[in-house]
Amino acid sequence: MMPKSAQRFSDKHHGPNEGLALMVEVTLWGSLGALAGGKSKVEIEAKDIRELFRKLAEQYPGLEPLIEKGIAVAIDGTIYRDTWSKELPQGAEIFLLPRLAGG
Amino acid sequence: MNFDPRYSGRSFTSVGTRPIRPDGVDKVTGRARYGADFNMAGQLVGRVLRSPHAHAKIRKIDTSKAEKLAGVKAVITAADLPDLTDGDAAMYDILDNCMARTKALYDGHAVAAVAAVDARTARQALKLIEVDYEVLPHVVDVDEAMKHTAPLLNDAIFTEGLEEKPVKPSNVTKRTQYGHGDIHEGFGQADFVVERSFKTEQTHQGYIEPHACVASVSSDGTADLWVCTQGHFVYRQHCAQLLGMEASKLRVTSSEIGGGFGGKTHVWAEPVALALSRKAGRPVKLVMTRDEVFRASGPTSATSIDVRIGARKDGTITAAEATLRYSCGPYAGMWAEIGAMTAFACYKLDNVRTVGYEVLVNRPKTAAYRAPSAPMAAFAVESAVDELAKEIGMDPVEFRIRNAAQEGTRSSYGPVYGPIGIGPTLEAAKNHPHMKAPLGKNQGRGMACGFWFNFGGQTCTDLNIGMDGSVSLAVGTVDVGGSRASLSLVAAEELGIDYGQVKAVVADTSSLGYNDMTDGSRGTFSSSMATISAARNAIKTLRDRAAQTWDIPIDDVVWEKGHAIAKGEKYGNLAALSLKEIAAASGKTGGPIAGHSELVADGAGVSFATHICDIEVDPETGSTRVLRYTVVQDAGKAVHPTYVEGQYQGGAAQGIGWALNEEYIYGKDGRLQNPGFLDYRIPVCSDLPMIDTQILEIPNPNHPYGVRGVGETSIVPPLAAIANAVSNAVGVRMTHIPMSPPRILAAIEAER
Repeated sequence: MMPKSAQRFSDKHHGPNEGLALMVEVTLWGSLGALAGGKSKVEIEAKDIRELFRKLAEQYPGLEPLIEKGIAVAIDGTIYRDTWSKELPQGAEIFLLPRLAGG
Repeated sequence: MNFDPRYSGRSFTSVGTRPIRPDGVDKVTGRARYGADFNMAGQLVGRVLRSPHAHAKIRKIDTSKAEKLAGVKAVITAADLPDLTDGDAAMYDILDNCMARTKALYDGHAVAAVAAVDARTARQALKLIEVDYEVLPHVVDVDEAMKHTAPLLNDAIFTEGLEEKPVKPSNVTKRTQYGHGDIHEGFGQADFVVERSFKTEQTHQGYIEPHACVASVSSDGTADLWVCTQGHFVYRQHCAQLLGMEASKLRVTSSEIGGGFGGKTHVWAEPVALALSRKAGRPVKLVMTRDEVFRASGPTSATSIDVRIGARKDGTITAAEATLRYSCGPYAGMWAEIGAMTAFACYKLDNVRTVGYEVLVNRPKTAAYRAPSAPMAAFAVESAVDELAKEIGMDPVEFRIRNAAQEGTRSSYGPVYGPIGIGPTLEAAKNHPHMKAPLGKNQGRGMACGFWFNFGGQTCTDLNIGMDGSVSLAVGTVDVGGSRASLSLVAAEELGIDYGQVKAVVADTSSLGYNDMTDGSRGTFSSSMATISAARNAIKTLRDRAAQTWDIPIDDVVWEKGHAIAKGEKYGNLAALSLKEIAAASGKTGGPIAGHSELVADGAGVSFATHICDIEVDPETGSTRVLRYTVVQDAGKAVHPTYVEGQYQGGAAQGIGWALNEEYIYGKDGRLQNPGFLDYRIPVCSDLPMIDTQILEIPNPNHPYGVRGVGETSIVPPLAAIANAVSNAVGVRMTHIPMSPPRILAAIEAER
């Protein structure tokens, strides 16, 4: 059965990005890695942040609660917190970070 | 989101100018309405009973005598705010902080509240509430709280993030780690190593306006809340969740705000006021006293930080590490984690490791404070960096330039940087006349760098064009630092009209879609993006109306300098139509003209600053005087440069207070000893020099105008810049913030 969050992430709206999914290497910050079986890097086939989160939740169910709470994605150093339609460019550095508070 | 946020490199007419602020007259004449300035017919006065103990079990609360007092209309306890958080731990902590449930966790923790016909009756009623406490041992110091022998605040907390699952509960809620490379190898390559321990005391954001609200719950279940907040949509969500309401039935209107700086990003008294109003059936006004603001609302963390940095003789840093312990108050937070992420973010490091520990203490719930957690980490790191430069014999600016992060550098918190501004701020500081000005006796100069992330977020904006051609801009981000002026400039720029034709307001929660709060330096960044989008949508309609008027295809109409123009020689005899002319005819061409926008503004871009400070120290008394202060920071694009300068100056002023005077002082009984501005001294005008600013404009590629957030980074370097200045003035390394006269004297005498 598809995880709860995966169902939520699998809606058909992909914004402007209708490109092909690419295999991307995703680096996880310390405590996130522990929830992905101790891995600090994982490979995921995804074209945008939405698909990345959906597949992460499918493949590493331990990450699902954190994805639900909110995770930021750094793409080539620029941090995205909410733009799930953001495309993951080929060869880009993808880095997952905690969602931070501001003042 | 059908909007292209990429930087366009365009030139500007309105953006970058300095018109008079639209909220200025009301603020200087006293007409502006803040949280406590709103009143409703029949409103009651709300007052909160607070724990006098730092840590105590609440055995029983007897409210019967208070309820019988004439004039008392409602008394509530935690029983009137049942747990509706459905497993949301962060919201449960907010609920428990609003009204203690089983334990009072700090001096000032709310335990009950009353609503009465006047303040005197309300105060009398509080005295009639009998609370049976079982006083427990307490701990307020971050290092003490980490010891195995420390009193436990919550025996259900087991430290997360350890390699082995702990078997005993702890006050340490979480351990986090960041970094890369091999620090042991890096320190092995070092010719010089500096190792120091630092402490910073807890400070309050010091907003002049206390928390204040008026709540009115109707018998049909709908409610209104007028409140001073950084995010009325967020307050609506919090209050609706905590009171079991539908969000759409609670309308929240934000007042003017007399400072927030992160302290007004989640609810404190508002659910209490709503619960009182619901019970009393009348509106309730609840305004915190200054004593309550200090004892019970958002201070920053107290910290204890160890830093070790190694470098080669040539000035290249080979390894850096830091252990950061941050107090969270009685609830879990991620304050040390943010410190661990930001600590070394200014530098290009092959080998770096930071470890953060979140620590529970019997102090108020830690809240965000302007670039939360970064100033303390920067104080420790930049102090050690300065000391290392001195040991190597290098100029501290040159040492930083040599090691500064740049495009392509792997940041200490993980990702590789894109284009960043730390190098240009350092070069600007190096070339600034301030660096070359002579110093006198007992005077010292210090400089330091700082980093902050900046955020965007969910944003919704409406732009309405009146039939007279004037423009109303309704935004949902609270104006904490001049965004109404900036956003009016952006609307004027995009539409090609005069700034004076635009009036921006902050709309209530029933008038616009959801907006994230104004935090993370996002107000102008996010809402300007939404304003540009809304204006472009309105322009499309304006072109359509002109096309109808001329009976030509819309594709033949362009928008230039506030006018619709029919392009092409075949339309040579058509006079351009101004926005005013199109607006005046709108009733006959399809009705009102408006532009709407809802988007997620992301890609705010990281921010860097470099500060320079001159200090004079009286070696007899330890008192200090800031002689000169300069801020250099990248703004991306300064929409209203005066406001940007104000943000730079404001951050520096708050940092100066934090560095030299401000601290929470607790007695042995765990009670706060200085909950007022007489004993908790923030800087006043006579304490400060004119703070000089230099705006750098390195465009943000993820915003059409190149805008970055500017509100927070300016508080990151001051603690370190001032500590370096004082250390240079007295010849002793200062390691404890604030550097109050007694601490400076003690440091000087210890060195003698």
